[in-house]
Amino acid sequence: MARLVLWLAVLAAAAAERPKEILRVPMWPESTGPDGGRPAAADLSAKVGGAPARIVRLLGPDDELMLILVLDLTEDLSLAQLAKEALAAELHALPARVYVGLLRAQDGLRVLADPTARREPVMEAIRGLPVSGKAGLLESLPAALRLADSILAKAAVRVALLYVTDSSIYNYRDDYINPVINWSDQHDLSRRFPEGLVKEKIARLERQAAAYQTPLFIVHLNYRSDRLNEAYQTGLMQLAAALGGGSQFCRSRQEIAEAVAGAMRRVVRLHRVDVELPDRRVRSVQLELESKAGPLVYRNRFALEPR
Amino acid sequence: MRSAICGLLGALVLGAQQPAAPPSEIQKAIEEFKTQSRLLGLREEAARRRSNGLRPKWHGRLFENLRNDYFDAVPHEVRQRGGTKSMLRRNQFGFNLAGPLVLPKLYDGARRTYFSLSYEGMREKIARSYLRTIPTLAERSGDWSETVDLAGNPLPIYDPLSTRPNPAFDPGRPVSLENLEYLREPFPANRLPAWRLDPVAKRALEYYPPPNASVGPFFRNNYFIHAPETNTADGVIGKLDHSLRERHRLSLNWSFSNGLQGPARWFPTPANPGGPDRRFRNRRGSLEHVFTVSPRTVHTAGFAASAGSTESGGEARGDFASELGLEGVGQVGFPYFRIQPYLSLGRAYPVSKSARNEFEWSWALASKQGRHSWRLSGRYERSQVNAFYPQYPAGMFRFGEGLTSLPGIVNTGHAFASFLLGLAEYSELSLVGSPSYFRAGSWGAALRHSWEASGRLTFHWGLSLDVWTPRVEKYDRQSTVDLDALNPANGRKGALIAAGRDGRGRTFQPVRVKPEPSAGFSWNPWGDARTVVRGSFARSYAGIPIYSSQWGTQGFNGTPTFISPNVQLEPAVRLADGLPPPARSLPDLRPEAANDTVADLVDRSRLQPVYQSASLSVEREAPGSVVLTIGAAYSGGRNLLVGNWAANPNAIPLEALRFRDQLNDEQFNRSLRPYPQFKGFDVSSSWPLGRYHRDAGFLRLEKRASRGLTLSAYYEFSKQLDDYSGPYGRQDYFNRRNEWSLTAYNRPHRFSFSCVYELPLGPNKTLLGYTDWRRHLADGWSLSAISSFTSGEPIALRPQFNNTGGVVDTLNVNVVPGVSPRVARPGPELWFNPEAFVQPPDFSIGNASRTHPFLRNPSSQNHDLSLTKRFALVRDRTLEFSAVGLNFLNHADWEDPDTLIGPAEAPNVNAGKIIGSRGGRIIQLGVRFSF
Repeated sequence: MARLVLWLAVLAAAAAERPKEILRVPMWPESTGPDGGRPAAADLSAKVGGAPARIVRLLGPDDELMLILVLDLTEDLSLAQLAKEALAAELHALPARVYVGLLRAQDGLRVLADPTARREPVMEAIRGLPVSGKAGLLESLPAALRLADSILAKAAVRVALLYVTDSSIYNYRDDYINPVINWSDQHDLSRRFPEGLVKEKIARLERQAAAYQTPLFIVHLNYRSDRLNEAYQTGLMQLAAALGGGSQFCRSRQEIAEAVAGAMRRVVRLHRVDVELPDRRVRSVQLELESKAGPLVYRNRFALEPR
Repeated sequence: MRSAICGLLGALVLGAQQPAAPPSEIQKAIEEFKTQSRLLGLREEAARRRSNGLRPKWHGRLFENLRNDYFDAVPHEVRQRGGTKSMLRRNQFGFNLAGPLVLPKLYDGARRTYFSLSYEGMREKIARSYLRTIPTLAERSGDWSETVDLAGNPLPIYDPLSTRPNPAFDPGRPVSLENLEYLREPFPANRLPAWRLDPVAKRALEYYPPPNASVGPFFRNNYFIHAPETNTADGVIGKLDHSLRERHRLSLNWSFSNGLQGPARWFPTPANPGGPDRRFRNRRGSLEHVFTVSPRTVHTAGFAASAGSTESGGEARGDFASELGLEGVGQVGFPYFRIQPYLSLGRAYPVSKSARNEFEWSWALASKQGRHSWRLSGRYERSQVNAFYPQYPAGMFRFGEGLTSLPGIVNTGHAFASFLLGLAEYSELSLVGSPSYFRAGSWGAALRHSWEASGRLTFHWGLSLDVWTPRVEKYDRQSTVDLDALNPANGRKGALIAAGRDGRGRTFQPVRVKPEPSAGFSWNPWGDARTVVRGSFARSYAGIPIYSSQWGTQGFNGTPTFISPNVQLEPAVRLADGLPPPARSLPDLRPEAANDTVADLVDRSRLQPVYQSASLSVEREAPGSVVLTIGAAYSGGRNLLVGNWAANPNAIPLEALRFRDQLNDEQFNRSLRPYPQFKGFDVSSSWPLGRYHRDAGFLRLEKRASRGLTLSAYYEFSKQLDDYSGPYGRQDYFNRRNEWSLTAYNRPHRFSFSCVYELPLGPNKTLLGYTDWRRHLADGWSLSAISSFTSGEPIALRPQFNNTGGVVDTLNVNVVPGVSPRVARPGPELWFNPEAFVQPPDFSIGNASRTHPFLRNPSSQNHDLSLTKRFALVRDRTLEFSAVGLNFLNHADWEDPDTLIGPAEAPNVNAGKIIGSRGGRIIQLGVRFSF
């Protein structure tokens, strides 16, 4: 009995000492006034599952930001070139406190430039990136999120993940299009709704992504209207929204520069709010954030990985 | 000075002894980036080592789709015939496996080599239904006493043996009941004596099944076919993708598929007129090399090869001609007896085999320089078609009503009565000694250029140059009629010539070289990126295809043809006599060898199908991810390839109709033709004569939402006119303007709607956000739907009789002035007013257009729904169940109305009416395990 009491006491002490889990929430003030409706930490209040939660940190546009830029350019040289030019213009305009790391997604995720506040090495790597290979956004996303989230957990900086892609669902190495194999089969209904494999992949990624906390932004350079690509593009939109970021789809070349600029503007205005989870056992988190300075846009649902 | 130096040294020493300043947060972040990217194998140096980070693993799926009539609604057309079941058994199964190629201890292609392998198999039995007409049992015994015409009046059958000239005939007046050219007695009591029935016909009758329905009117629509198709298929697709260093990539794709299509048996006998069993074998492989010369220049080279073969009619082999006692024909398959309007016995092409091989080399160089993008490409294609396609190896015998009619009087006699008497009006036999080995090629070069004129405006244009080399036969076994060569039999132009002989080249057609321009723009007006205006124009040419038939080999293959001297008076052949043996052995390449046949005629002009299109659209993105597109499009074409239904270079001018009944005399009829030595020409869907024009306006609405919702709606209004499309053919070969009418398949209104919705249920979703065991039930539901509504095709009316002496192959109806073709409430009882139309008088053409300008067949609609439920399993595995409902509302579309218009004195009582409807809900259940 004494041994049991001792064990319970040890366990209770260990639990009491274990640090509380922190939720790193991407947030934007909705106001676009001169100071961007920028809230102070004291102005913010948070609730997790309806219960008050402590805000432990607020990082805003004045703090350092690490932008992980992933290029997934495989199809159209001219669109890719426009995107590169737009990125060059936007990178040069970024504040000095924004550090940019560059990766490529086609044929597997690979680092092209380590994060740096110097723009030229990143620009050099972007210019030198070939437009070739197979699309890689869907396959590379879990690794990119894992990389970004580990940084988010390690350092008190803002982190954002931005994909610039021209991918078509038809240009993946994996099979999401379920091509006809037996042309003599005239009563095949399984391809009447061809988006099944895309939807399944997106659902899987969304489930995985729910455990990550880095906001995801996607700029797609080439919107396509066929049923499979529509399902794919909607899926990308879904993923970006689920992670608290956003997506833009360009229907013409003229939209590319504006789409890249829009994504960059949003990234630069990103806030990071660290919220302490009151109950460690909760794996599905419903978050409410409020600010005295005005309405906020933030990610309000998280699914934490089981410990 | 000393003190200063000491002070500095002291400061350095002290400084060195102080602890290092902690790294800043951003430094920590950078270090973490480097560490994690190394651990995850995202860096070059890490990638070269074996990385255990997120190394891709093999993944794939297993699936099964099941359909069974147990789940389905009984199709409306089956229920209307009293059926309670429509057999359906279908299993579709397969797998996919993909990932890096790893051969243990041999090869590790973790990042460089990727494979994907998919297999799919299918086993199916699916019932098909058709409503047709076959002879009644009484008619088969020669008893026509109960048989009536389409107006319900008794149909008299005349005895051809009683034919004699009418001494009172006045050649100055048209043939009529009051002025008969020939006298002929009806069979007593309208019954054919048993001894008069042809023995071959009597034996052939045993292959007709008995009638099994009485839909009517009268004895029509008395055979309901409800039999299963049997289909199987097995196929594999494999892909291998390999990166050679950074700038080279190789992609290898290959696939094969074997299948059997066993269509529904219309008759449970070897005389089945339905399609033959077909066995398919398809193979395809391609290799592509992509070389990224620089970030702005990419070079691509590829090679693709495909081989497909089809074998038909394995079930129909057998010497049925001997069983029937029919002599002089081949002993493969059932002889083909055409007995309109009844289902025939036997069919064309009872046994055939073909193979098609395609080889393509392609090359492209794409580059972007400043505001200009260029793409230069080239290709070469080579086609091989090997065909063994005897059309009538056991003979074709066509029966008409003429020989049992009162000569010159329509609505008398019957084709089946002529058959019972064994009196064929036309017969043909195919003698094919060897397969044909056709070869053709084409190559082309194309340049495309895109210029960003400003930030808001982009132009693009392209120019292709395509070269088509015409068809040759490997052993020069090709022939055609040369319309300029003199025929020694009659000294007229038009004689058979063979390729590669008498100084001729190996081909009959010229090499065709055509430039194909295209241009377009996209423009954001008023500097507004949310609005895009697009315009495009293109002009293109099509090559002359090689069909899988042995058309154009006459002389090497024989087509003995037997033609009635007068289809009302004398048969071409009597079944009991069979066909005489061929007069000459093959090959028979004499200039006159194709005389008295329907001769194969290859177009030797430089004409080639040309298509032109232009479009303009405005796309506007509205708030809420809604995109609205409105546009208009034009397309047109000329020199489109048409077949015998629309092109007849041996047609008789319509003025010849004034000769009236004299035209039934084959010799006189032929004398009026431009090439009288030929019965006709077979141009095999390769005569460049068609023209079309299409205008369309469309509206498209797309809505996407981040909650997993995609909605899309599309409406199109179009009008398409042409001078060649069916459904029955051209009335006037000489004046194409007269044939300019609505395209037979033009459906002016089309509306489609589709949606894909990931239901917001489950954890991290709006509704039912359970986190306990119930999340497995709530999560992973999605819904997809596709609906379509289309207006009907234009109605094509046709007269019941064509008494034009063979001058007009396809006759239009006459319009009755002052009578509206519309009815107040179109329905199955009456869809249109048949009294607005009438059979044209004998030896005159109809004045209505080929397709009606505003009457249309019933519209159709379809609604499909798919519901899926995904279960997330451990280690990123998924189990998905799906239910697909095709026509899930169980909606029935009306059949098309009867468009056969009879003469005013004996109208088709069924004209304008609709017999029943079609359609029924089909459910498919599926399960897929993904890993």
